[in-house]
Amino acid sequence: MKQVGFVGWRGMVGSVLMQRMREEEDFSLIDPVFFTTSQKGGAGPEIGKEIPSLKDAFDIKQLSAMDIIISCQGGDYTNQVVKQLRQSGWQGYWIDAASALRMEDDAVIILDPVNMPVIKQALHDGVKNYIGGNCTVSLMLMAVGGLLIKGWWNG
Amino acid sequence: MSAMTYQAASGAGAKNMRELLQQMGEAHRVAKDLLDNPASNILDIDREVAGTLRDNKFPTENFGVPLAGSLIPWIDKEVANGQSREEWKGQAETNKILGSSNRQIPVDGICVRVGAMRCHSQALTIKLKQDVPLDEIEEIIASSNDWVQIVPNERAATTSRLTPTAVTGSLSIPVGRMRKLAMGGEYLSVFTVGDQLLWGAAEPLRRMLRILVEH
Repeated sequence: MKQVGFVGWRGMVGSVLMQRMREEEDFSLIDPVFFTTSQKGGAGPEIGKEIPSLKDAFDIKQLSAMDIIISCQGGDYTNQVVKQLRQSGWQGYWIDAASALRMEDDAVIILDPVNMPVIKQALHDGVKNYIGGNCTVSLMLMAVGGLLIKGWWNG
Repeated sequence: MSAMTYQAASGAGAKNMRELLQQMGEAHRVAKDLLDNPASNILDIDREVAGTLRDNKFPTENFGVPLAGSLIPWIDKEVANGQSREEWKGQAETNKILGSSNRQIPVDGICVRVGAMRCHSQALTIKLKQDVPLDEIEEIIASSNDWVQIVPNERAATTSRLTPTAVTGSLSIPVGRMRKLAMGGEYLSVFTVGDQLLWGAAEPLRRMLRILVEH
């Protein structure tokens, strides 16, 4: 099973993510590791299975052991950590709720019910950064993305 | 396409959600005695509420200005061309998400913060290539994903199903108020609501994780 690191799981978006992952039993598919910026060694969230104690979210070596990292910690953390992580040679997948990397050329904005072909192509091309979109834009595309994809718009 | 938004407090953060409720409570507190008296004058109540909203002791640490009993027609920083950063993202991110690099879909509008907790609403005007019949448009939208729900353009259905209160905490994306505008058959209007913390934030992340696990 893939090792998946979680950072920022205690905040508002992180808490909603934890709740949805429990509901959909996503934790049964992965080996989760929880990171913290302030409470290293403490206990992680209740997810229905045994997990290691909290790891330091600034420990590049510990982060590098992950196949996938999901961050809801915010853009400052992303800016601080991702560069170091990539420089250390980490080849894992970075999934982020923050906008920091969103418009970078080596990042894809994820909204799979709307842009699964774009995501699939990016995976094929070896893209490693998968970033959540602006909330309003994502909600607009969930609503009328079909019309835009169909090319019925004029502008 | 034009997107005029009615965005919830949650988009600004957890502290802002708390502040919105504090503001609502404060507005009620100053009006309570007058409210409890059925003989009181509504203009007196209004004066009390407006007075407290404008008072420099009103809790506005996070929003900077009152949101309860008001709205804020600017979200995020200023960018150079008169847009807010939130408005700039509309076109930039839409086209990046769709991978439409060669022919940009123009997206613009005004982003407004309103006193909803965690659901964003949007009034969209889409200029179509031609006067496509509404039933064809409905069919395309309805079949585009499993969460979108067409709400008939009727008062009862709209007011019960197409609101932040109806949608909050759910993955449903209701789409309604669908009709052609007076400007002509190519101008489609749509109103939509979605939970900002689910499809607007957490849900695409956990779905991407699933995609990677299966990859």
